[in-house]
Amino acid sequence: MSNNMSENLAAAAVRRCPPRDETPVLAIRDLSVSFGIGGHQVQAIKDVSFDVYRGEILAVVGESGSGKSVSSLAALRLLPDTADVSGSVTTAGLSVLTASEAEMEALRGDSASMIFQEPMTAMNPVYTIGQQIGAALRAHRPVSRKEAQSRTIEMLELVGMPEPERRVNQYPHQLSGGQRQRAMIAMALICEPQLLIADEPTTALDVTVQAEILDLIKDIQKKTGMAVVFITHDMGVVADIADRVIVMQKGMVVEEAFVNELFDEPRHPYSRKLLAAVPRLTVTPQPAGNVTAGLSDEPQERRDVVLSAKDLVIEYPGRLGRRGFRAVEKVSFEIRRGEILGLVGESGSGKSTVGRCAVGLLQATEGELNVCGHDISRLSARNIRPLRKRFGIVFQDPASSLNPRASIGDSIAEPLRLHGPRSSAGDIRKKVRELLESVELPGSWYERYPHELSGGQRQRIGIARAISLEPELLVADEPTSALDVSVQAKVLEILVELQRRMGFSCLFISHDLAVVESLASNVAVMRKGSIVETGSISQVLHQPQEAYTKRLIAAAPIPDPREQRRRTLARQAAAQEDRIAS
Amino acid sequence: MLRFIVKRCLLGMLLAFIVLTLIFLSLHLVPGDPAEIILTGEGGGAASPEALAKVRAQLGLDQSLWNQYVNYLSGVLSGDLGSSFRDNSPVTQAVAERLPRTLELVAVAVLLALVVGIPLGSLAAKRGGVIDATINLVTSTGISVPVYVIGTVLVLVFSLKLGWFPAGGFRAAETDFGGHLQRVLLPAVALSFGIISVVSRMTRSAVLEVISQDYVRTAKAIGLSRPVVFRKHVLRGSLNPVVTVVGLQVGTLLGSTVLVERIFNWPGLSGLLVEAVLQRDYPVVQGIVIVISVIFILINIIVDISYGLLDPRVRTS
Repeated sequence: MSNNMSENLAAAAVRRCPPRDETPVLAIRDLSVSFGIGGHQVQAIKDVSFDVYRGEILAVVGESGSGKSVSSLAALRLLPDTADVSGSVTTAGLSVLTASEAEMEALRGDSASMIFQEPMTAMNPVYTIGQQIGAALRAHRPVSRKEAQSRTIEMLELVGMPEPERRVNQYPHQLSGGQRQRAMIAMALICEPQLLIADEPTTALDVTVQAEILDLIKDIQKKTGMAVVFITHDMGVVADIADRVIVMQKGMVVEEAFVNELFDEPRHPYSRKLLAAVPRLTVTPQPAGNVTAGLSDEPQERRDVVLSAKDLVIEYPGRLGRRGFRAVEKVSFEIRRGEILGLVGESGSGKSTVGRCAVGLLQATEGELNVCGHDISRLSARNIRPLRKRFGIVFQDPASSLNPRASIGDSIAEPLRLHGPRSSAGDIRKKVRELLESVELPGSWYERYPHELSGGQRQRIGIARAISLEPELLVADEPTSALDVSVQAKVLEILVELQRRMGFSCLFISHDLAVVESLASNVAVMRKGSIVETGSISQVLHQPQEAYTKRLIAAAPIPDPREQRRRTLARQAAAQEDRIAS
Repeated sequence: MLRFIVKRCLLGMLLAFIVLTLIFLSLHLVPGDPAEIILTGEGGGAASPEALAKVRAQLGLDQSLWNQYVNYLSGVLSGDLGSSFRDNSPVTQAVAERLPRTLELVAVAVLLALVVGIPLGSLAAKRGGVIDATINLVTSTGISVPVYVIGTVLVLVFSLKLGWFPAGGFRAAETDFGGHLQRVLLPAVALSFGIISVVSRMTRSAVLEVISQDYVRTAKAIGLSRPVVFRKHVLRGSLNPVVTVVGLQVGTLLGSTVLVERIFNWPGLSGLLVEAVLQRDYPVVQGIVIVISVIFILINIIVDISYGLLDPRVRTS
């Protein structure tokens, strides 16, 4: 691993785009940024240089900590005061690092603006979206409140907000995630900037919404000819949106190329590694059961059922005088011994609720849920406790699901002490070491604390804890969605290897079809609390029957620029047809 | 929003009813017979059974508990808090006379807390460093020094040494407005030290939390100037916890008036309460406790409603 890394760093940056004969909208030269943290300087980016020209979309791609956001925040001088910046940045003709505060305020939101990752937190919850978009306009143009309001409504219409007259007076929390991001885009574009910096604007969105937002940005960019810097970690998104790409690693630019070049022929070893790590949805059918568990050669149909849900209904109780919320509506499925079932769906589809219910963290409202031979659908917390040791759960965010004050050894040992056979402290220690080694971490890390570990390592601890009692059923709820792709690949590999060796059944919850395809044998697709389609991976993903499944598959961006362009055209054609039809 | 307010008010009324019941029950659960205490006082000795029966009948204590409860509730609802054991004067009237004076002290103190505490906390959060440390030192002192010490020091410095303010007493605002103001200021300032400190510290931590929010970065990114970003986004977002703490502090302030009124010889409600307790004048004690409880509930309703005004997310949920 470390060998690999030094090799990557040793390789010189690959630059394949000749400078153009025009003034760039954004020119970054030898930009270095470091932060003073606890007395010493941490280098965030080093000698970063790139240009962005009018009429192009430049994607900046990299994993977390690669410095991609830092370089873009520097373009508008939005870095925190603790940042130590050197080099030069010219944004829309203004030398940003030497400009006065008033010059910067005149630049921001007018000739250069920015949209952010999480539109829920990026908009102020106490003002209506109309007030906030209007404020962006009134900061730069001498218009009355009334004019600002009518311009805002026009802008909302332009970014495809449904019912703009009504929405303009709504607060961010009253909008869906996609609508919020549209409002955010309207806010950034209301002064018709020359440069738009988009910092992971679709990362928090569902794939179908992501596809809409990407199309919107491309569309507006084409109409206005503005320059766009699009920051992302997702190679599929890069393939969809970019004209040109910059790959960043550890604060440095390692490769710069036109999008087709990069995907056809990545030159830098790190680019190659990044592309190889992206899970891909195979377009051609694979032989079924390529990754079924090696527990036995018995066909799956004859193995016993570990989990069966029948007409499962789960409601969250309402508060006083208000109706409860039905998160899961008559869901039925089965998992056999040694099987991995992928449960896919978008946010709010109820997939996590099913997962929590399957391990007894939630009670079902109606229906049956048999786990390991017991109907747990309505067991109380007390009665379910003896069963707990037979299932494990891995949560999405390893940072918050481990107790920061407990050593990782103690975290892993906790279920052993609670449920395991009575054993001495020495035995438990030994067992924890084995578990650490089984997730490919050194056994000597017993005394380390979660904050000393990387995200991927923490998630491996989460897995070690979940399998410590050798469960019959493991529920993995989006275990890798908070991780970088290269780390995700490793964690999935470990999970599959453990499953093969220990033979537990697994309910693998994910929004990522490609990830599910890479490890599950069967899949169930959920939407709005119901399962819309279920079957083997090859059936559902390669010959989807339901319109929603098809839409989901088509919306997931794949790392192939030509295919993404084809899909975009297909989507536009379909939208056109819809418009004509209606 | 209207539904939200109506709901809060209904809940407040329910709460007031429960509190009234609890006050009634607690006074009846206390061992000892009020009639006996009235007749014999502290001195002991025995009252004649006839006299006891007469006093009990006078106080309504010979009726069933339920009847007493109904009488008590209907009395409170019609504004009749009973009459004093001592001189038979109506409690409602005494409270009505004294209450505004105490509320005035509290209101001025809260006003000072908002006007001084919020800018002080904002300054500490924005500047950091030496200024933050200095403000921290001042506010820690403000919280930890008891109100009677501050009051005494104020009297010593501003009345006795400098002679700027009278050392205490009271003038009615209608007859002598200037004299009234002069006498309000020192006790209100003494009262406000603690709450200024609490508000300032709360503002500081809330501002520090909000200033790193994504939406503050967005506000900068659309080109708003620093003061506008601070006022409209940072400070606005920080007010919720400040409002909460002010609401809670008003209770403490009402308590602190007991000492402040004594030091500055201010004839407020708290002074009346202390007198009544010392003289075992139960109807007066009960009346004051009822009034203060209701005020407390009212303040909580106001705090809840201001949450709704400050944060649209509270309104809809």
